[in-house]
Amino acid sequence: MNEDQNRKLDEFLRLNAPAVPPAPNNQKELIWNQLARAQTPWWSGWIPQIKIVLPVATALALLLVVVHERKASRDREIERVLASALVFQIEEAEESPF
Amino acid sequence: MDAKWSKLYDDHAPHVRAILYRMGIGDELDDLVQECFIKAWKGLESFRGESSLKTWISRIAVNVAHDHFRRKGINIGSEELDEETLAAASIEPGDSSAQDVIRRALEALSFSHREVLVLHVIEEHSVEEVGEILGIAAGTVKSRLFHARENLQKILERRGFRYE
Repeated sequence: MNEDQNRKLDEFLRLNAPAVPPAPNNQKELIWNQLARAQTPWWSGWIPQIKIVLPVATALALLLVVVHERKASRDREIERVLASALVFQIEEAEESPF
Repeated sequence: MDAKWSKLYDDHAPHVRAILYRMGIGDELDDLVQECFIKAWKGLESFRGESSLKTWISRIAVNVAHDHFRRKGINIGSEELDEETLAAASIEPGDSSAQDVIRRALEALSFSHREVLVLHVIEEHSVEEVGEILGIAAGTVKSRLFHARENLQKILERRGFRYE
């Protein structure tokens, strides 16, 4: 084939190239959404849950500490009263002539 | 949506779509366009500007097409046009327009011949750019173009189609 034949064949091919079917209207958005999903780190889905779970867990932990501390304080008070009573009884017994 | 992404897609999607379709991708065209752009976007940071962005994206499209045909078990290495293929390309009674004839003729060509014609003649990349896209020397592109044109002409002659 000579240059002229090449040129004519190329021109014919270019002019009659198969028409490309149109792209879906939302293809750009679809690909972008897929890219955005792929770029999101695996743990990022946990962030909303952490925002709720963390304060609730902290509040519960504080409540437990307060309840425990109150109980311990009450126990200490009872022990102190009992000990005082015991000391008082012993002193009374020692002072008694019988 | 990222403005950079929007520009990348708007500037290159028609070209990528045309390359894939004219290289013979049919039903999976939308999926493969998507695959190309995901690869392009992810690889954009590594693009050093040694070639034009259009050439770089065309290379991605060609590689995606190669992978697709390999997955389908289609041989993309052969350059021969056998008599059987030539005959099959010539006996479609439904083909009425020149576009139908060209589509049938391109389908009949070997993959390596089809891609040089699509890239150089239809998509108007220079011989050097086609070499960059396919990872071959410009001389090899010219040789493939020579044989591709010869085979295309054979197919058109078989159909009695005159383009002069």
